[in-house]
Amino acid sequence: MLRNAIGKRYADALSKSITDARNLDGVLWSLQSFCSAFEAQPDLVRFFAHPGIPQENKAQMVQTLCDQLKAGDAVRSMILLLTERKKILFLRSIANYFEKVSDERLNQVRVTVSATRELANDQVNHLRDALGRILNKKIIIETRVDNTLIGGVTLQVGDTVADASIRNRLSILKQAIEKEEVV
Amino acid sequence: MPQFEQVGVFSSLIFWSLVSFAILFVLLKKYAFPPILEALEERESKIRNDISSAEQLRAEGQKIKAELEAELKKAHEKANTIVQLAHDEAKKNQDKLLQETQAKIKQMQQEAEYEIQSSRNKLFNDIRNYAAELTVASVEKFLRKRLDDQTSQELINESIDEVIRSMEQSAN
Repeated sequence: MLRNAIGKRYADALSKSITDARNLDGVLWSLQSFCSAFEAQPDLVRFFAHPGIPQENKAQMVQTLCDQLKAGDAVRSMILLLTERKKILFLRSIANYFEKVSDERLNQVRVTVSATRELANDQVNHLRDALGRILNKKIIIETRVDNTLIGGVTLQVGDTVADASIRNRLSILKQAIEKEEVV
Repeated sequence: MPQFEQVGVFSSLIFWSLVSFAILFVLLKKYAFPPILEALEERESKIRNDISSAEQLRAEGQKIKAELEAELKKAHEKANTIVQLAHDEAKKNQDKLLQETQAKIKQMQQEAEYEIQSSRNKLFNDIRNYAAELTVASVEKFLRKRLDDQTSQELINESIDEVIRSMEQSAN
């Protein structure tokens, strides 16, 4: 709960500090890169969480990382602020909220499509066009291969899931058999 | 009669006999009769008293007898009442016991029926679940074997159209 509240507050603040919406994607990419680095390097988390390491050293480390990732000023300031306020460990939550805020500003929506095979370009384009027409937004499609589906696809837009997989149909069939009344 | 022909001979004798009888009578009347009469009266009085006592005793006896008979009758009635009450009580207990036994039998019957029904339901549930598992597992195995690339692609295309329709319905 606290994590969500902090993530939302900093994400909103970061979004407001970026006036040009075209920069939002770059900022999001930088934030996600930072998150990936933190998740890949547990030592980095321990370094920033350690109360004995001076603030200057942590700030220096942030500057180095920002240089490596070629992060813009907005991200750099945000990370420094988080380090100073000892909120750097909430970065993943902030990045997730920022993605939502950024998508809203850019009038776009992220769609995750899972299928048993890698989707062909024309299939992805067909889906993107149709969803763009339905939702009246720019559609960003992320595809995944999931062999547990047996066949068909599932689609997730935010909290909405449309499941047209064989696995789901078998599950419905199973429920129907289980509920079947015996005379 | 020849005896009376001799009156002249015995006249003095008769005379003196009469005199001595009179004297004897007077003496007897004066000295002997009173105590005898008194004794007789006493005796009579005593007998009367005895008779009276006997009558009284008899009356008392009759009374006691009547009382005893009444008591006996009462005791009889009481005994009859007690027997009747005991009979009623026994019948009541018997009825109560019968009702309790019937209720217990009914409850046992209901419990047995419920248990049978529960077991039946559980068995059918198990069968249904097993049948469902078996069906799904068989279909899944069959599909995994039979789904080639072309069929999978066709299925994906159909599914894409289906999710698009689903999203359209949600949007409307």
